[in-house]
Amino acid sequence: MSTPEPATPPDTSNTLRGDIRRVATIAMLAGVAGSLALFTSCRGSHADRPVIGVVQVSSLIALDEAREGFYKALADSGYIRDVTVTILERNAQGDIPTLSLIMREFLQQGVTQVATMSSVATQTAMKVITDRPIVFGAVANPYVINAGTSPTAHRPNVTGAEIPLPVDSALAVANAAFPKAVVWGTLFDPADPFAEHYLGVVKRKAERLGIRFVAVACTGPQDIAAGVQTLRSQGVGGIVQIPSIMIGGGFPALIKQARELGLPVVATNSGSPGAPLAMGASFRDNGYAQGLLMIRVLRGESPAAIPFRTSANPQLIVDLGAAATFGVTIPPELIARATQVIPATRDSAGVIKGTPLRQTAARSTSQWEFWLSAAVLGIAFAALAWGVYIASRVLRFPDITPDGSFPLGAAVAATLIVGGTNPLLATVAAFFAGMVSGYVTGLLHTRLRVTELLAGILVMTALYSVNLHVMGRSNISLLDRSTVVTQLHAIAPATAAWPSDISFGVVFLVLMLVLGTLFAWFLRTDFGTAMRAAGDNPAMITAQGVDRRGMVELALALANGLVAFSGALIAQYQGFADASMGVGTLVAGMAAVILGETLKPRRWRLGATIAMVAVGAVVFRGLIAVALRIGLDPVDLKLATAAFVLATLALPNLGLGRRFGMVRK
Amino acid sequence: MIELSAVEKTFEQPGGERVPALRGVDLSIPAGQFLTVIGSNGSGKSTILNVIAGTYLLDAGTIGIADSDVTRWPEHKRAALLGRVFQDPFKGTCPSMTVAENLRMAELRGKRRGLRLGLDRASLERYRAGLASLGMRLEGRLQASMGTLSGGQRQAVTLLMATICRPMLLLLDEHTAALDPRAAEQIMLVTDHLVRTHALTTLMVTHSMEQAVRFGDRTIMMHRGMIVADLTGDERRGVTEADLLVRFAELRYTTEMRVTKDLRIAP
Repeated sequence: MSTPEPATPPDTSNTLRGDIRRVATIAMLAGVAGSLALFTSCRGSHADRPVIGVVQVSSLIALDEAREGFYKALADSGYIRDVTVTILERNAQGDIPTLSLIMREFLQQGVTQVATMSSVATQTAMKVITDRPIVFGAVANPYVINAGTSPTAHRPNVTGAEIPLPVDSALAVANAAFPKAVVWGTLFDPADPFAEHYLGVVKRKAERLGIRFVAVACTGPQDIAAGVQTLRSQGVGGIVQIPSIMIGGGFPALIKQARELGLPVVATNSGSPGAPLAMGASFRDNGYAQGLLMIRVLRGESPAAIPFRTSANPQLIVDLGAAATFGVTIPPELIARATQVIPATRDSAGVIKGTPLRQTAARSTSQWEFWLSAAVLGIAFAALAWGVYIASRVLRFPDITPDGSFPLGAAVAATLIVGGTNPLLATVAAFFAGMVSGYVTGLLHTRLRVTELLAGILVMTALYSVNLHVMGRSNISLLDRSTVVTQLHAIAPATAAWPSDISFGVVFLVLMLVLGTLFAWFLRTDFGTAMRAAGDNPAMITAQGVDRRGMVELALALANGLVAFSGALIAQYQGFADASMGVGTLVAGMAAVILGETLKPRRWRLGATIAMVAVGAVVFRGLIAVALRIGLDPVDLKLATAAFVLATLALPNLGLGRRFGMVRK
Repeated sequence: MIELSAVEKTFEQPGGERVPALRGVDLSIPAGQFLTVIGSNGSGKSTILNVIAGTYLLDAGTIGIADSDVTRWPEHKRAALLGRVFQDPFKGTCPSMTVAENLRMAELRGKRRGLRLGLDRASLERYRAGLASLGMRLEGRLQASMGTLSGGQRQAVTLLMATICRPMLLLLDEHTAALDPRAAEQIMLVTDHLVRTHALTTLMVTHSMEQAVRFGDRTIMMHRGMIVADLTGDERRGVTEADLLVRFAELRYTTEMRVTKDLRIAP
């Protein structure tokens, strides 16, 4: 039975290596802290040149553009950053309370002028700063936020450039371009403070035009595709998208889905690529106008004497290339009226080839297409579910990193794809990037003894900045870029004619089958068995000669690699990566795991559990689709999600589960 | 051959009070010896097992196993040389895995765990034979989930796991304490059988005087962190449970005195 030779003593360098690693980790953290301190202390002296505090509420594409426009205006007039003017650039990254802190910091740093991008930033600035000029931009209505009562009667230290977002004119343009469509619609984010205002304006205009206008709520970028489908099912002939923070980042997804369904899109600002028609102003121009006002202030004019100005007249932009991809024709009289006409270029010809044209007239959304897109999303979420399964079930580690590693995967894949990397390779690279993030969470916990939850929170928080660095901005569009689906078309040209959801579904399914098989195989190998044991019984696995800490690190690396893989696929499916797309990732993953476990018959083994967790991911997306479909009040969407998960958890405990063969683990 | 010399370990209570658990213990276990350790609660008998296993690192002294000085080795590294059975039947095995998977993990103790499916026909046959040798009719449960086994059955499997690749030292930590008397007796017989067949060097901590004298070939008694009696050979033969209890009381009295005098610790 037993082997006669004694066990070989393991090598002694292990502990040494552990020590070196610990020291290296601490040194790294100390280095970061040190450089931060250095960085902060370097700000302080600004010589005699003006110091402009530039603040924006979050890294939205529109606000980033406004800021760039602002800098351009300064540069064009000879204000060179760090030579003739000092700029302190701050961003609250979506956390509004931080804005107040930023303003106080500005005062402390001796800022001489403040430039704000967005209404909330302007509001906070006006509250804190009263003794020096504030020049605002990217504000739709300065009177609503009490900056003044008319362009000339306003707070003495405040002036700025308002951006016209004429949603009513956009609807009029839509009506003129597509007179046959009698119902128009939009997606809106119920959490957006201005959504109600814009909806009111556009609905009043619709009444006057004698057409109907409907709105469907979306609470996250991943709901955009389903939202567009829901609009179609309500009979809209096209979309006039009102300005919205959430939709702004997800605009490529909206374009993609609308194009699939043959719904023309009219945008309400000019920074929304892919729409055949846009009626509005550009945030970049607005930022430029803001910059010009700032220059007047810098040259000594008092803000009190500078009237508010509207940055530009609303422009009508016709994108003939985009129109071609939608398969729509823009009436010549509209083209004649346009401020700017973007011709159909060779580029857009490529687009036409890449994205199959649909004839809109005869087309309507059938039930199966709606459910198909929910299923495709679900399949892409399977890897996420597996990642959460490893951390929460195999390792029993409450890991929060996925809220950061999911967008990390998206960011890495999108950046690489835009840079020309093969999409499949980019997806694999995203997997490895995710692994690194999980490994760091593991290190924080095992080597620096940070508690499990806190380690995850720290890495997740840090990843927000890392993701912005990776992308270089808050949002990368993958619209009309090559994706894993392009690869399918390359291998099997016949598939290019398929609807994109089917292509994505096929590719995702194949990828997940491969990944799932590898994953199930891995967990059954000698190494994988030890990994499972490390979560199941730490005392036992240590007694069997395994360093549990190493196992925890590797398991978390694997878990977050899988999560990032999902993120990479979702980015390609929805057509963009966004810094904010991680919100709610963990909930979706946990829901999939719980659903999968509940649906699984008691006696099933590991491989089957893994399969059922994937099914759980699909079922979860399906349940959300049901909620959208039955016309649930959109505000209650998240409530319904929570209720689904709760019901799944509670069912077996209520004694109903047994009857259906459900078992709680 | 196991060597403990001048081993010291003190625990700090949450209140800051320092409780000495081992005070300068010297112990040498020759290869092939079956040593039983008895002592009252807090005598240091479990601590001595845990410092050998590496659960705690020493404050002072050294520990040698075979030719290696393992004093600074972490627990998982020492595990390569040791076989362990815990008092808690849930602690030695993974409940969510099968009996075969548990045995496979034990078979790889101290070896490289690679990316291959370890459970092949040959290994399953090996485990079946091993289970059969326990005489507990477990050979048919190879694919059963560990969680479905009784406490006694789990301890039997844990014993098999601890001895599946011959350890330099088998550590038994009151491994029958949590079982009912019948199961405890059965596990002791299995233990004795395994130790004798493989001629294993063994350290068994027990709370039962009866087990201490009936099994093994040397018994040490611990009290207040010291070895206060060491019985072997003729001296040990013929000693009954009752003798041991009397002796225990005597020794306890004398050491109490000594400790009070030497270390100035209030009784």
